[in-house]
Amino acid sequence: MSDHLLIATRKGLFALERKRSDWTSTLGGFPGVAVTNVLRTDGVIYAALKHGHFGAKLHRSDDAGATWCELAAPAFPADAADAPSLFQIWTMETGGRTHPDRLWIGAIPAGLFRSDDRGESWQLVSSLWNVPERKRWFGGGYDAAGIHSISPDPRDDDRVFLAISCGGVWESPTRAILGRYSVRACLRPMCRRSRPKTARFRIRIGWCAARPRLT
Amino acid sequence: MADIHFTSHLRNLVPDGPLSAAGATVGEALVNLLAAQPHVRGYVLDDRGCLRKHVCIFADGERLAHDGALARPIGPDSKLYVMQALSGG
Repeated sequence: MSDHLLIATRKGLFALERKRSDWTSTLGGFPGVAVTNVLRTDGVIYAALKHGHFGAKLHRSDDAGATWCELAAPAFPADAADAPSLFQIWTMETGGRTHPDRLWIGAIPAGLFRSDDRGESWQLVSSLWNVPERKRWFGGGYDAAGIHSISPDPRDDDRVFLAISCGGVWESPTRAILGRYSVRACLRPMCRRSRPKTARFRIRIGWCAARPRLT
Repeated sequence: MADIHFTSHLRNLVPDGPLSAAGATVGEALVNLLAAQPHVRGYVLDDRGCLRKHVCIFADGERLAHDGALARPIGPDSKLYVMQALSGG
């Protein structure tokens, strides 16, 4: 278990450190600003902010949070269908072992963005944005649908699953991230059988270390 | 050149005191100014180049309606204030 935790809150980023049995908390940055997600990987920390008036922003620290630099937040291209404006960075995920400089962002509205240079530049995954099913997606607590989970397959980083609230779970074909996305399932069948109302709530997805096989 | 003042909430992004920019409209002046201050652009304008929903602008003492704010004509001696919109009690 880690002795260091980063907590993203609506009032800033907090760092918790455990010494013996006690936890101490310190302000990690961005006092008073909503931090919608934080991701730490290999000594680099990414923090997604949502200023109430000034939009969604992305910051990176290369020195464990001592200093931060603002990066260009992902943006929908002007020629993207419906041409929305980024409302919130909802989730961030690394690209896996074979893509150390890759970063994924799941946004509201539900755009999937990919960076291959540690967040310096971004590309909208248009194959997902352009699926006809997007017309039926809707927001779960927000005005627009959003991507809340991104999960690369640890055995094959080019195979990526993601989940949309509310728009189902999607899988990219292996080694075709920018190619066609396909519907994997709306929900895992076991969830649908046991708790029919589960579909109304967002569910984070991720890989289980035990590698269970679902049928 | 119109003087443009920013809310203190953006003071860590822009220097203290007014900045100046040329333009026949609020939008032109802002675009000209933000070309020299690109790191501020995304705080005032959204991805589409529209005024952010919760940013308001005062021009020569008048609070501008959001939808027409960028098209509002200004003169060379105009004073603009870029503020955050506030609501509630």
